[in-house]
Amino acid sequence: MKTSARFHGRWTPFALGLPQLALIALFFYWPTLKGLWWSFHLVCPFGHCSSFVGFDNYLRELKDANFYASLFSTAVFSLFGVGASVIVALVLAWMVELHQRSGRLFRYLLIWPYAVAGSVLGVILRVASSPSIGLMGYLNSVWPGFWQPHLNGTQAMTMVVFAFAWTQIPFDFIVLVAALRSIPADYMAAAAIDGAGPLRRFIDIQIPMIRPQLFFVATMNLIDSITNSFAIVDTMTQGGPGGATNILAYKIYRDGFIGLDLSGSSALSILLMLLVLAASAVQFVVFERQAKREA
Amino acid sequence: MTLRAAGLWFAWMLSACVAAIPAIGRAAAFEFWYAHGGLYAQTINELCAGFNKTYPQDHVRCLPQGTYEQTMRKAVAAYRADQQPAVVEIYDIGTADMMRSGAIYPVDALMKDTGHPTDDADYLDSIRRFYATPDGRLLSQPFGTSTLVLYANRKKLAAAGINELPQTWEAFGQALQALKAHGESCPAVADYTPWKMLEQINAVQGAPIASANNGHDGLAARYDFADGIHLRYMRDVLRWHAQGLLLPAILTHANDQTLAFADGECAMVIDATGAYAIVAKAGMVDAEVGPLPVYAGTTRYGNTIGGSSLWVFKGETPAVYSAVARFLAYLREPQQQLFFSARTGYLPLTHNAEQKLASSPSTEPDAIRVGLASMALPGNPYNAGVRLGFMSLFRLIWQEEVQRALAGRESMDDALINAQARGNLLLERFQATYRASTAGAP
Repeated sequence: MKTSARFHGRWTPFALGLPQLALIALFFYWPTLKGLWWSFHLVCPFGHCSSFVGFDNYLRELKDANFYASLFSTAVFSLFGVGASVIVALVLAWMVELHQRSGRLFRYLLIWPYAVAGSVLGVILRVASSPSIGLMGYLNSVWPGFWQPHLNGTQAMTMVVFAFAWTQIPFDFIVLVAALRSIPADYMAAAAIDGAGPLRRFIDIQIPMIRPQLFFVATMNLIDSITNSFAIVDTMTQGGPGGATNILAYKIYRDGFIGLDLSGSSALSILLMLLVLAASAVQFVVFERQAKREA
Repeated sequence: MTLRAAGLWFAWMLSACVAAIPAIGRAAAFEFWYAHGGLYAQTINELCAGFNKTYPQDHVRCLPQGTYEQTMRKAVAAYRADQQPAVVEIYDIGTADMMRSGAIYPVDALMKDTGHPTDDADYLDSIRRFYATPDGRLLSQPFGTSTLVLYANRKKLAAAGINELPQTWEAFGQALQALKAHGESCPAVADYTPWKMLEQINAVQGAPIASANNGHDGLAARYDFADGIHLRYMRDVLRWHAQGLLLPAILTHANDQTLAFADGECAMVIDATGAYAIVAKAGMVDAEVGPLPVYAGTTRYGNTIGGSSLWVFKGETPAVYSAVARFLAYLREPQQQLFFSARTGYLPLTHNAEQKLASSPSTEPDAIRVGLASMALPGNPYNAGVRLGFMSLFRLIWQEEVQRALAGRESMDDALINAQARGNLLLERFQATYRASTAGAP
């Protein structure tokens, strides 16, 4: 390393990092510590009483069938949400790369939805998927009982998965387009000369070469599906019907913010954090291994 | 140069301080957080403006905080951060938490301390009983108060050959069939919420929801509703739902039960008296209002209420509390009650206001007349609403289980048994949370 690239003095780098550290401490570490403390106590909403209960809050959640139902909903939501996001984004990126001339235009158009907030999208899609008005309302009038997201848990889950994929596809698309463009043109040209069609090149050259990026977007989507899907569920289904879309992120909100069950909700938050940490750890290990193999 | 600048700065500071002195000495300013929007918020703002005009030395800032749930949540956060307003509007089911919060200045004590003692006996019985502690104290001031009534579209009922409002659930069921047979696509609409389908129905039938007087007697209460009248009613609801007689609000174009009735889409709805403002504003002239039906051959008890009351937080100065007391007394004046009531369909709160209203019946909306009459009937220990912990979570659990039953994923019997069992776990935890507490009321 060049010495000129180093900061002067011991405190300069620290001072430069301070604003960011302060923000993280204020909005992440402090709430996390507070949540950890609450999760070991029974606390009243207004804070005038609290009693230490050890792991009772955790044990209660871990014994509750509704916790596992929520965990299952989260798994279904994450699996299909991530799957749909990555696959659709990959196909879009591939098609944009196939047609270079119009690709530039579509690249911009497909990035746009990234600017739409989850809650805004949720409101729009809730109206769009209403069983009484719009397209679905028409289908219901032709075929009564066809679309019942207020009763049918699978349909409600489809709705929130669709909305989630919508929010994730633009980001995945940007990453995957960049990845596809970084594949040396020689490989593709050589394969084309050997007679490989676009699909064959996609499966045998492009996908293997962008595997790290695919893994990266899948991990980012997974973490987002666990932690950042609150707005969509809140605006579209409120966890219903019958708890079918009551994913963990929403259950935490419901128990803590609607129900003022600060203790139970904190215990759930900590469990969720462990889940995200595990997902991040897997990603980290896999990346390390990959980097070593390439080195 | 610098000396002159410093002098100027000093003079400016001094004048600012002098200018501020009368403001400090004069106005006792405080905040009131309320939980309404639209027409209701407008009316509350007019009440606030009226108070500020009548008492120029006081100043109340009335700030909307969203829904009941959001307002409660913000009040908790604000109190924990020592930023609480002086007065906050909290919904009915927040009462159990507020009473035990240790964060409040009980309204009865406040009024006595500031020289505005109130005669609690003047409150309508069902309202006073809903909010009173076991020893009869009122720690908050009742505010937006509603009860459930039956709204029917007279023209549609007449067309189907029904000439009087159903008084029993049996007659209600027959009316639904008749309306359907007459080609009505939405005989009745419901949002399937427990305030309407559990709390109010059981109150008017005098049937228990929980032990210990529905929780009024203390923390040991446990749910007890999964059989009896609630099961009977919910089995009927399930049948009406399956036959397309009682539509979920989401299946209407209005996507809201009150609006679906008000715009003429649905023929009947069981709704709060507070919905009257919306029905009237929509220009519906055929709306007829009757009391909530009961089962044939059962006793009808006085109905209970829902809505909100006003709580005063700790942490203000005596001068502010004097102003707060004047504000609460102002809101409690009969003419303010009646102004609020006429605009919104919320009920008058005191006998005093009720008598004023009765003496000029032409201005009295139907919903209020019917609501007050249905509340005035004799009671029993179970018709004063519930006082239970984690009630907002319980309502969500009830909805979750009932949704499963409506979707055919479990029987209605099992849904209610599950809701009761899950509710009891909440009550156990609520009891454990507050058992160690020394703060607040019993």
